[in-house]
Amino acid sequence: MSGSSSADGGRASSDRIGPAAFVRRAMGGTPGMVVFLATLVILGALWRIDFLLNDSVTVANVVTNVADGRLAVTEAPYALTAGEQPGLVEVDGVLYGRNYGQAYLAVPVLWVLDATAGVVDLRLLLAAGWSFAVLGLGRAVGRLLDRPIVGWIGEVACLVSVAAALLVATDVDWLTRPRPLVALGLSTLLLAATGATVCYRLVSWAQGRRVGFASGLALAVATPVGFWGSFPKRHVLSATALLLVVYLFAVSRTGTDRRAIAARAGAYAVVGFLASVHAFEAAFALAVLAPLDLLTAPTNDRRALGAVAVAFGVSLLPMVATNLAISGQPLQPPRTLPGADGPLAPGQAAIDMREIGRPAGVVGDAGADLGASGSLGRPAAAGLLGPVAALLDRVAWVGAYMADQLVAGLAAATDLDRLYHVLVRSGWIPSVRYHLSDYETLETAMLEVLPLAGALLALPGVALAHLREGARFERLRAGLADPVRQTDLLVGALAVTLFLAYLPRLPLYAMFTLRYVLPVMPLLLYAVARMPPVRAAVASAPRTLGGAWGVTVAVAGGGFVWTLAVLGLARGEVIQFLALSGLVTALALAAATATRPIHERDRVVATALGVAAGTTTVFVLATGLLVYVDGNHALDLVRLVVARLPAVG
Amino acid sequence: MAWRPGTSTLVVATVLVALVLAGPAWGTPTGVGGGTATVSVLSPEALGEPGASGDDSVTLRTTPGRFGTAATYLRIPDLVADVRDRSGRPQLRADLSVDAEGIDPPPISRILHRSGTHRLSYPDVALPPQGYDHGGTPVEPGSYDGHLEVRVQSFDGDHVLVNRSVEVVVDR
Repeated sequence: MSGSSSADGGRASSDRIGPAAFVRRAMGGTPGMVVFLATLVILGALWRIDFLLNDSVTVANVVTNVADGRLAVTEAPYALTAGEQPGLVEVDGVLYGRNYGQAYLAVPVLWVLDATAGVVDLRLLLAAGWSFAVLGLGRAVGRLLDRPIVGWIGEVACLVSVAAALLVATDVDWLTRPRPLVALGLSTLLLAATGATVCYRLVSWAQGRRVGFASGLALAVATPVGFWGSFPKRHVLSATALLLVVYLFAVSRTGTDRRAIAARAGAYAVVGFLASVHAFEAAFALAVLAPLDLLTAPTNDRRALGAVAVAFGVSLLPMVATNLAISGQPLQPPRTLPGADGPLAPGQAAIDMREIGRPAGVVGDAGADLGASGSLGRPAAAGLLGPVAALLDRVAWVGAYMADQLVAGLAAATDLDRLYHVLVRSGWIPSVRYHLSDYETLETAMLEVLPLAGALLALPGVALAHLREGARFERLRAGLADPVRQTDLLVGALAVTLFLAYLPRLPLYAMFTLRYVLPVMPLLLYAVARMPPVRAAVASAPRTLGGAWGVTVAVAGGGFVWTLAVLGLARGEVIQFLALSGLVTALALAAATATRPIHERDRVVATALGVAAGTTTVFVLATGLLVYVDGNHALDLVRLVVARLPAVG
Repeated sequence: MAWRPGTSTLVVATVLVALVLAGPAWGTPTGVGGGTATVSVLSPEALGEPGASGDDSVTLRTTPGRFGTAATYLRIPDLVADVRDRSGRPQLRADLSVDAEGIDPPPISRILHRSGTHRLSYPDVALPPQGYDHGGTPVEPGSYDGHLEVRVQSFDGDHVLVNRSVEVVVDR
């Protein structure tokens, strides 16, 4: 693989291309295909047809009803009562859910699943889909390494996997109507793989293909995106959407041709669609994107701004239409409406679910999200002020709300105790209401689950070294005209804004891996990949990096299973054991990166990167195979393997 | 040039044909059904005596949490059972009830889909550290009465295997 930078990696020379070549081009060539398919294969193996948090019950019910052609939740195959569905809202006696945009993406998947229902067994369909991903991965890796035998191994593995699935297939009979939840899970999985591919393309553009390839794979297996990719939560969608916004922004900085303008309009379109999933996250993204875009765009002519306006307007339609149908207000999402039967007491639903025999491990939604239920109330002024005035009033309210959140975030950022528990070490956090997770210490801090971010601790030293090498203010200012630097600015501003917006709510129960700030984590990964010592280490010592990762996964994974078997750890203890491992490797990475000017060895940094990434992979594998499991893996083969591993107490 | 299928195309076609031939209801059920099984408890050994009536009490003690968790854990040993003469899909179910608000282990069960040794793992029960005041039910240190019942259940019958008292000691 070359180390050259390419915005359109893998672009075919011919103008006329077939569907397969089109897909490959969209993925950024064969390396992008490998990243996409490897993510599908790994996270697909960990995928559980289940809920980790009970607000996903609400969204799965929304998928069911949207597929039947209505927004109202009149059919609820995953819950018996409103109390089991946090986020359910009531408008004039009619119940609605939330995150409709997430449901809109899952419904086409559900149509495909429903279309095959009378022909193919659901379990076999999932096994075959996964096996096809294995086949595709084998072929793509074979093409990448120029070794056809890898492709043949993929073909044999596909056949063996399907044959084994035929022998051991079981029904998904713990759910009365599994397909909507399967569609939601499958769409989340596809979004995670898309996010990894976009990460590959973005970092390839900025740092060259080799660093991009490592970053794409790292997003899937060395960040908490791997944890959430196998559960039907919205956070992976948000993370992928923001990565896509950054990538399209980056491409749009490189010229004024149709492609650049389309990319610029696309960035706004993604933000617009994100508003139908989580309006406040989209509003924060827009507040960061719009000024930076206008300030750094190669052109702000009528054609470019017109394309942006049209794309953004059209992309807002899903949110506006949904809001109008539910609240009657285009800018009032369901999330801000009063909950059914009043705001639900956090954790109450979790208890209800356990009593009706839902799998252990499902815990209540934190109920403290941005724009949480009941925070805005019903619109009252619409009739008096007229639609335009009401709209302006709503925009002003949203702006004031966002400003309040950021001010609160800045204040929270001065609370060192809070920052310590959010960023460095979790343990037993005094402010967290652990009784809502059965007193298990399942919450983790940033460095514990994203030890790769430990490299950022060396950022001040790296910046200082950069300045010593001759970077002056004039050069920095000239550098801001560089598309990569402009993209760095967007990434930094998005990360800081979203982190501050959520910080006043953290630390909080039911976050697992700080899920509210999951969209920030890929941005931190980008920042790590942009650091000169990291780029040098990945580009010059890829085998050391891969070897350190592989050895860590094998040794630490084996050591973890051995520890589990000998010590008989409880769930909270397992999470803290893994969290401490992550923190140690994060600090080691920080030390290796910070001392790079002294030791001047790329292999040291590459080893530290591989160990840090491997620790998170062990976290993702351990939680996906041993901790949050209940015989509910989508693949029967995985379920059978898991049944033979030591159980978490 | 005429189109010739590659091996991958043949693999995909073979899989699709196999899927269609298997039909829409190939998977076997996973839930409890009819049937019976002869079950003997191998571990904990104190539960393994046939006809145990509950005179010999089993004692469970809490132990501190590790790796930075301040919770105290009631660690319930795995139930290991030998299953013979199995038919259908009976279920082995264990239910530990403790006479203390705040200690409420969920029942555990497993479908006996094969003969041989089966291990049922009880999730450890976490109790809050003293001074935790965010909610929930505090459990004071002391000794509490408990009751363990192990059954083999199916739609054809319900057989009690173990029915005995358990002492739960909460230390801090």
